Amino acid sequence: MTSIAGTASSQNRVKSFVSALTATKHRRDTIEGYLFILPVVLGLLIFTLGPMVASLYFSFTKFDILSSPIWIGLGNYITMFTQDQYFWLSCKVTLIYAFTSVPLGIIGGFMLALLLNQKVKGIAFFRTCFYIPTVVPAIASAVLWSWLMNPDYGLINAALAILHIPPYSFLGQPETALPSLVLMSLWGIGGGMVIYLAGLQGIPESLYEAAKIDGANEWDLFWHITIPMMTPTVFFNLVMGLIGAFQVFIQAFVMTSGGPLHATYFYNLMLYERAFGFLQMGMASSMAWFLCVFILVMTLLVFRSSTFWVFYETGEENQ
Amino acid sequence: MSKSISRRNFLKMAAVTGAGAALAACAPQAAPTPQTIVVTATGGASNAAQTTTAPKTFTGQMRVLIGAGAPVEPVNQLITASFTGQYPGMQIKFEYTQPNFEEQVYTSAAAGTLADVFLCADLWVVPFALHGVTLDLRPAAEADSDVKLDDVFPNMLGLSTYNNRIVMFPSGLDVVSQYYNKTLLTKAGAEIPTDKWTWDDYVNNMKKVTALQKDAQGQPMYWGLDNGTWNWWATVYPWVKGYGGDIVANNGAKSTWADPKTLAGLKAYTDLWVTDNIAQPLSVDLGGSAFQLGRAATYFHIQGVRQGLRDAIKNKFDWDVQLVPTMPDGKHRTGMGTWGMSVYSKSKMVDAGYQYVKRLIEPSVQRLMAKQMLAVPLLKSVANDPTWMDGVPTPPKNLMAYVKGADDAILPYMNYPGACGSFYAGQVSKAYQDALEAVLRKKSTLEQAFGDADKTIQTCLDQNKTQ
Repeated sequence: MTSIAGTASSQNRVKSFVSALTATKHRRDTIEGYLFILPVVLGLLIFTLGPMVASLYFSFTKFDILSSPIWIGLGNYITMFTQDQYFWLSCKVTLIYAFTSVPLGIIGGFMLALLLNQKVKGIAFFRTCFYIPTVVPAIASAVLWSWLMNPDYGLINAALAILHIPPYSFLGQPETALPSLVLMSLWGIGGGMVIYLAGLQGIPESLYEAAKIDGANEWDLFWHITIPMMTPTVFFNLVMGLIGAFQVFIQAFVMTSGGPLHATYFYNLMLYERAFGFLQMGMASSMAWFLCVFILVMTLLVFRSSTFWVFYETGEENQ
Repeated sequence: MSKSISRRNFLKMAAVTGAGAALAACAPQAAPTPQTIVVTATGGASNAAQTTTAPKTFTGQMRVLIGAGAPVEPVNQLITASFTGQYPGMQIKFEYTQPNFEEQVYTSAAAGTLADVFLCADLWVVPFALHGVTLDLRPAAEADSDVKLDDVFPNMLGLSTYNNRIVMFPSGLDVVSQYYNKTLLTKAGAEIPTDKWTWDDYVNNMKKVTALQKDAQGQPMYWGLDNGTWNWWATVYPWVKGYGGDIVANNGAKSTWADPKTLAGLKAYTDLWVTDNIAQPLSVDLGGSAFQLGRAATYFHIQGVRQGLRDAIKNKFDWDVQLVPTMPDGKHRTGMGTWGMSVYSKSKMVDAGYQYVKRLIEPSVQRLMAKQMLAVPLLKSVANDPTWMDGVPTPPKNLMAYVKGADDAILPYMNYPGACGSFYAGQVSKAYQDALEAVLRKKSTLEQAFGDADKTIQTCLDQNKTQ
């Protein structure tokens, strides 16, 4: 009995030792884990969350950067919505841009992906060609397009001249400046194209084979298999495209300064102007928060709508 | 022999490195060498340097924020040579401006890290002063026997002054003058501008240039006026003054952008585009300056652009400079604009900074700047002595046009409340430029456009009465 009891006791001791060891090791692992993520957490708190909270506070103040902020409550928001003549103008310009460039980008990127999904010789070269513009820095692209659209020496006008069409100042006329920037946005469809391409290649071949056996033609395959199966990818690109389009800035900043006659006076350009041109950091902060909320609402609406038009391979909708 | 590193060792190393970096960052900087300063008062209400006697010694390093390249960099090299010659214990460290210079100054000032001395220009005089970034140089200058403020052309000093505070020392006599393409004018059968020209003479001759050649669509291939400075206060405001108008009344409380005399001046100016059709339309982008490309006969700008014009034009055509034509009041109404150097109001070296920037308005430095084509002298004693022009490369040949133009040159209005901006920035700038653009593009009438601008500015004036 004694020996059995002694054995049990020593087993318990071993168990509790192992348990304590495990607990210590678990605790150490946990601490080390936290230490590893600490730089990212600190970076997020100091450089993202901190400024966001600060800007929320500034949005309720009159703040010129160099003097102390003065609390004015909802003053900036009231001025913005009711008195600033440029606020609604910049909203209108930005909405027009977003609601034209995003659908064009989605359709263009999808069509391009369909073309580049063909099994033909040298396809990798073409895919690379169409993707390269997306890695060109935005400012370099803007300068490049300024040159391309120049009425005096731009390549676009040179091409039009071959067709005996007189040179035109695309960015210099209020009527064509915004459409020119919308068309220019197609320069970056390579990014979306790659995602569509991945989506297209992820569609199971068995679906097409089964449909063919059932007598489906090429159009049926496209309409009833390709498009539904691509809706999650379209959904992703739509959300990202809208978020990007509402924040458009560089093209107007570099190419048109918001002109001519405010034709390209985007919301973010006005925000920047208020912050660093007029030194109205309080007003700029309130504009930034309005934009943030607006984008959030638009994104939620798109998510809600996805129930009706996004389909998944599992047969479930809107995962 | 490679050895894998454990998580714990990695964290230990990271902690040691991080702590080291933190300690290094927190360590006090080397104590500045004591300066021999007689009387100094910095910051405070007036941000004024009050050095009553020039310090005998300075040691240490002074940071100077400049724009890269000519004319700012070579001028600062001249100043540095003079300054360190007198104060061999001082070292000058040049720092260079970023593309968004204004933001750079404001954010550095907010962080307290702005350079001791920094580049300034007429357009920043008011905003920098309003935000307390710049030191008032007047007290020190008035107490300094080396500096003769009354020898500086008054309008150039005025351009550098806000509320009687000298915000920067200006670099040169930068009066807007009329550059003209002699070759193109001759080809068009137009006269060469003289200092007797009125604006009517100007318009009549420029019409010949515009009529010289049309493209297939019937649009002019050449214009009388390059549109590069269409919205600059220095080319717009003189018309208002020249027709007897102004942009404010009642000691700055009332905006008068839409008053009849103001509109008369603005109408005469905008008619160059709208009625006379002698100016390059805003929608015509040649990918560069029409004047430099030989497509516009005249261009209105300061002397500071002449080196750039020489480099761009080379031998493509013959060109020179003349006074701007006279307004109905008989004066060569024109504007001015110049860069200069300021001292940071919260610098630890305000006295050394003052001793540095004051060299900009010293006769010896001004002569060197003139000889090297970096400026036209802004000291009357130097400018009126023709020897400053000896050996200066030509074109332009008529260098005295730059000096004579100062007689009738006007200052911008600088007393708008800070929240309303100025001719250069903020709401005032945006309002008048928007109005001007709408008129020049024939999208609005003068009365409507400037009526709107007037209302916008008046609203801002009313909202900021207390400032």
